[in-house]
Amino acid sequence: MTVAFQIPELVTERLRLRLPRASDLAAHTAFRTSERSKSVGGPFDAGESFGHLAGIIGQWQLRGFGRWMVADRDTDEPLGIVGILHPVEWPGPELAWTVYENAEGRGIAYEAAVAARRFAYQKLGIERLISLVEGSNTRSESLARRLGCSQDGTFSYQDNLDIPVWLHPTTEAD
Amino acid sequence: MDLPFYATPPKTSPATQLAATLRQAIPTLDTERLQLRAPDMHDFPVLKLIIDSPRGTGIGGPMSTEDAWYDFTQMTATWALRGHGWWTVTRRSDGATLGFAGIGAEPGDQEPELGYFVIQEAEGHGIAREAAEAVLGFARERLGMTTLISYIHFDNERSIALAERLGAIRDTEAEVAIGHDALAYRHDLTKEVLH
Repeated sequence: MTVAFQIPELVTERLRLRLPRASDLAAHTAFRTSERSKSVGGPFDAGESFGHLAGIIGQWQLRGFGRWMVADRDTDEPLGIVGILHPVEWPGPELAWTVYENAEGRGIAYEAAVAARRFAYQKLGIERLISLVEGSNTRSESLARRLGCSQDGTFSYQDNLDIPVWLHPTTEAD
Repeated sequence: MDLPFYATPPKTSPATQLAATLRQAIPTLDTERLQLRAPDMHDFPVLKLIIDSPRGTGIGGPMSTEDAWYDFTQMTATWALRGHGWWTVTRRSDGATLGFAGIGAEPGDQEPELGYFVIQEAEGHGIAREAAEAVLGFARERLGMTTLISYIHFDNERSIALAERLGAIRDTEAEVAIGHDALAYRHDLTKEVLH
């Protein structure tokens, strides 16, 4: 039995933002089990990586928005996860980005984040968008600045204390 | 039950409409007293309640709201990844959420699993059994499955009793395969179960 889920896809100059699928699991697991995942609480094991990818899809079903698999527009190679993360008890919908090693240093996260943010404002009617960026994650902090964010307090949950909250500008809202 | 604000989506928005469309892709099962339907946001407090209750130990409880949410999103997504998944078990007469049943595939599992858990008020009325039978029928008739496993916590006597009433047989080889983390009961879908 095939259960066909269709979510809005976003296409940019180099990228296609689409629903994650089982064939993305190897790339996602490689990231989640590597040292690169430290900034998101890792490294994790393979089982957690499967659950994490599944959870990304599940949020679409429950909330009607979520994070996309960022894929190369031509080759469909998975490059990272970007979109709107919104767990319960979160301080609001979060524009979240993660790129795999093959996408580092190419402006992939920026290109995807701009497209996702525009979608959030224009199609979802989200009015306030934040990003949570660990202070030690200088790359991500630079991206937050490049996206025009300004720091606006902190957020703590479980063992993760005082994560800086970055507030996005609403210039693309119109 | 009064819902916390985060479990109450806005009345209508592009997001809630898309969520509803995605849920429509998941089949609905009707039984005599129950309807099994796609999980939605309103079911989350019920899942959390079950996870944190004594009957939640077999499914990792108790746990933080955060972790329970991740479990919920993962359960919901099984459909997209595997073509089978979890339903919310509701009472047909008033739509009340009574629990969850479905065919899961979690990290650590070795094969698709028949799972079921209901709120305390639904226990002792054959609710879990009625839901589980509907799922078994769906697996056999719609998915063409010949077997399902149920992994059950050693202390969960109620769940063990139900597996046996459903005709499942203890499978020690399957227990070895998961490192004896739980008991395993095998459902043979090639034979009709006598009630």
